[in-house]
Amino acid sequence: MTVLFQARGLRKAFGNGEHRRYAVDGVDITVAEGEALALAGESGSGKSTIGLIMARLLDHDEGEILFDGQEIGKCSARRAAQQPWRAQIQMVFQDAGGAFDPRLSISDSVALPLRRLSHSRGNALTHAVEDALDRAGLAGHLFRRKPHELSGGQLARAGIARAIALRPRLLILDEPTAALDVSVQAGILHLLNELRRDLNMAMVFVSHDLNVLRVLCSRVMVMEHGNIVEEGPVGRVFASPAHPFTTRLLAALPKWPRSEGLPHQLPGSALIIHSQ
Amino acid sequence: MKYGSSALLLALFLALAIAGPAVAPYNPLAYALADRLQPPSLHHWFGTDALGRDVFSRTLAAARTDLPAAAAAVILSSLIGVSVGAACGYLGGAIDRWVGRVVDVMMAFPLFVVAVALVAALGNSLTNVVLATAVINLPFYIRLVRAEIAARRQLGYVMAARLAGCGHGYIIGRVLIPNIAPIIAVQISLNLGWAVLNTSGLSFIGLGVRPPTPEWGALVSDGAQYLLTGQWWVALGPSLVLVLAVFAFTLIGDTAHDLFSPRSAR
Amino acid sequence: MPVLAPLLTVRRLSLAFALPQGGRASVLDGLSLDIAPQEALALVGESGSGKSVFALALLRLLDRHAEITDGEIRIEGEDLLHASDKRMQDLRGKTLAIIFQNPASSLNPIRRIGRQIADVLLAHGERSADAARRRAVQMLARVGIQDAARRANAYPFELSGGMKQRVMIALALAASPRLLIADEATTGLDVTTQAMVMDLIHEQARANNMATLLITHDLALAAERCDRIAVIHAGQLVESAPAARLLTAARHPYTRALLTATPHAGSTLANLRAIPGQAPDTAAADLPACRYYARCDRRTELCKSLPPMQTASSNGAHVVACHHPL
Repeated sequence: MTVLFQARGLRKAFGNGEHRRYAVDGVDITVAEGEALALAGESGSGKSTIGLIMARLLDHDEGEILFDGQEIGKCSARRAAQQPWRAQIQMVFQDAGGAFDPRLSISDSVALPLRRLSHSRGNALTHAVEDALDRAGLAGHLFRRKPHELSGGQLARAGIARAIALRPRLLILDEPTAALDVSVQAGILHLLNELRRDLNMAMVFVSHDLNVLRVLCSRVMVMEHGNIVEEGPVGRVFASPAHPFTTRLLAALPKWPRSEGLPHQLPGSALIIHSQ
Repeated sequence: MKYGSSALLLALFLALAIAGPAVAPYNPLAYALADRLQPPSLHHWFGTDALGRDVFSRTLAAARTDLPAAAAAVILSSLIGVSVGAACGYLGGAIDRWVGRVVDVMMAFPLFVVAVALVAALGNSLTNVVLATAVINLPFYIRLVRAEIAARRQLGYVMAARLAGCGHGYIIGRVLIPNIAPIIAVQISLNLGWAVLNTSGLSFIGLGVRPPTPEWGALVSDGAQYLLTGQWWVALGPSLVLVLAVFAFTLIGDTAHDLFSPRSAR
Repeated sequence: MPVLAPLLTVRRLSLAFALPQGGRASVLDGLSLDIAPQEALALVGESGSGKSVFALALLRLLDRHAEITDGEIRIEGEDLLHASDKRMQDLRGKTLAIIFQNPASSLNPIRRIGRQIADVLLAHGERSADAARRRAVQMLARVGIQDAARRANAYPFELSGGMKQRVMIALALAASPRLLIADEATTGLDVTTQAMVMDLIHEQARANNMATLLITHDLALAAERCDRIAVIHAGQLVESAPAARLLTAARHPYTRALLTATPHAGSTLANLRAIPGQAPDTAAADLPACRYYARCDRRTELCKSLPPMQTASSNGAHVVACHHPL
């Protein structure tokens, strides 16, 4: 296992004076090359803040951040755009619609990072944009559309296309499917898994939805009040949680009846079909 | 109806300013003492003034003073106001706080009085009237743009631009400002009406243009002396045109607002 | 099981929206549904399926672009669609009550929460303002708000999301309705808060002999919390069955597809599948008779032209609307 990303002792506070509160309070994270890591927690747990800090869109107060062995946490988020590692750490946002400039076509938006960070021009640029959109499974006739002309699922694919266009080595995804219907979500989950495998990208999934994290990730970190309370392989943590908070989180999930036996079966409802 | 009439009025005023002297029946500066203080007639639509000059021709010619002056003031204040407002809204922090205080202090004064004071201090010239008009309109642009940019700087597409390696200049100039351009356009068209009113207001109290240069505010002020002696027409013509000009720009601003804001468009 | 007269009966309910650019969208198409007294029924559908419009239709709270084109709604035998506006006001709250997804926007932000509950009580026959206020505090205590006498003086912004939803429930329960409609009432809440809110609804329903209609996109939540589930797709009811049966022995291709798209404790990525295509545009002139037609892998020409055939199990508990059920 090669370590790709490492953060130690991360802290981040919001507010002033007596309202000052640590959203992230001493967190260590290690992400291996090509790994799928889950960051689970409820609203206000600090998981989204960590996502933004990892993507270097938000400054942290304390702690160090290493990417590929290089310290990148000293450079402020304001100056991150000009750094050589910018192309290698990308992010996908929850609100895919809001993450696209309403004035630009989808392909222009996807072209922007390629133009700015890999300095592609002309045919090479067009080709790279179309390749990314194809990989994300967006139909060709949608490339020139404006964001408001796309459905939620199509926008999610476009957002992923933009993030992978630069072939980043680390992709942060903040609730990438929370706004989608399950019928669409399943397709996006498959897409993300394939992209991770094919492009050998490490992915960090930030989500409150344990069932989504379960199918997508191999390792999970559970957050509560700015702290990581439990960490381990997804299968083990979900099957036998050690921390009471994780136990509570799992217990609150709606139960799915097993296919054998019908626990709530009403008396006398044996199924006999009328053929009318 | 509203869209049509506002477009028509705008076209009318542009035509007046451009073709004014060519279609004016008389030389706006020529005295004709024999024809002094004539009431409106077929020959003199708005009548003549105390020196026998045709008020209609003078009103037409004044459009060439007032409209460019107002436009220059608006261009100046929008350029500076948008830049300052965008910087404050995007960067926040100390700059934003200080600019905010200055703007608040400015807004605490009656703005017309500020303009009078500025012209008095800078010297009585049309250029300084334009400058003063630009300065008193600055706070509106700064406040508007600051608020709109601040509301958008954390949006997903701005974050995405940062991830795409765009610097702050690119994000302000190529991402944020284009997205609020419709809002700025509405402000500019509404502002044109105020600027016309302000320019002519300053001239009315004797600042800016020097006689005999025709200017709406000066024409109204000229005519006002004759109201008591019964020669109402000297002030009436220019006043009506001034009202119509301000009305036209306000209507255009309102139309622009309707066209650009999605909620009221339906 | 004793056959009870249904509390709510909906028959062939069809509803259309007039579109601003002209034309009409058929939002609900021939929907029939019963809710028994004290029953917990879930109406499950994806976004745009018409499930929330259905809830609003039950309360006659639709805006003026919506028109009910056919069908009838009866509650305790009373015809809702022809009731006077005055009568409807009476029924809302007293017979039917609703809680919405966003409690923050459903509560009056400038009125103390105790007052808001007292208002409902006063509107529904309580005479004395004092008594109303006392009962409001009791209601708040009943929905699990601690220190209710003090909290009754709080404004909505002083409460957390889960707390606001409790207040909404107290408001809805104030006039002891017969049917509580929860329209995505826990969507956007954390799972632990969701569990608490659902527990509360369940408790209150049992204590007050109240039926509940849970409107949700979440099949797992519906299955855990309700006796029966009805599935809606693009304005058509495709299947309804006892909850556990629907999850284990679904017969409609859409229900099956929805189940295989929903991640749950036993899921792996390999057995999770998206539903191809999307629900049809209900404003289209050439809607197929079965609106799942274009996405369905069992479709035949019949499905395009002939309305889906209703098939019921012997006891009538499991109904599927499909020409080719599984």
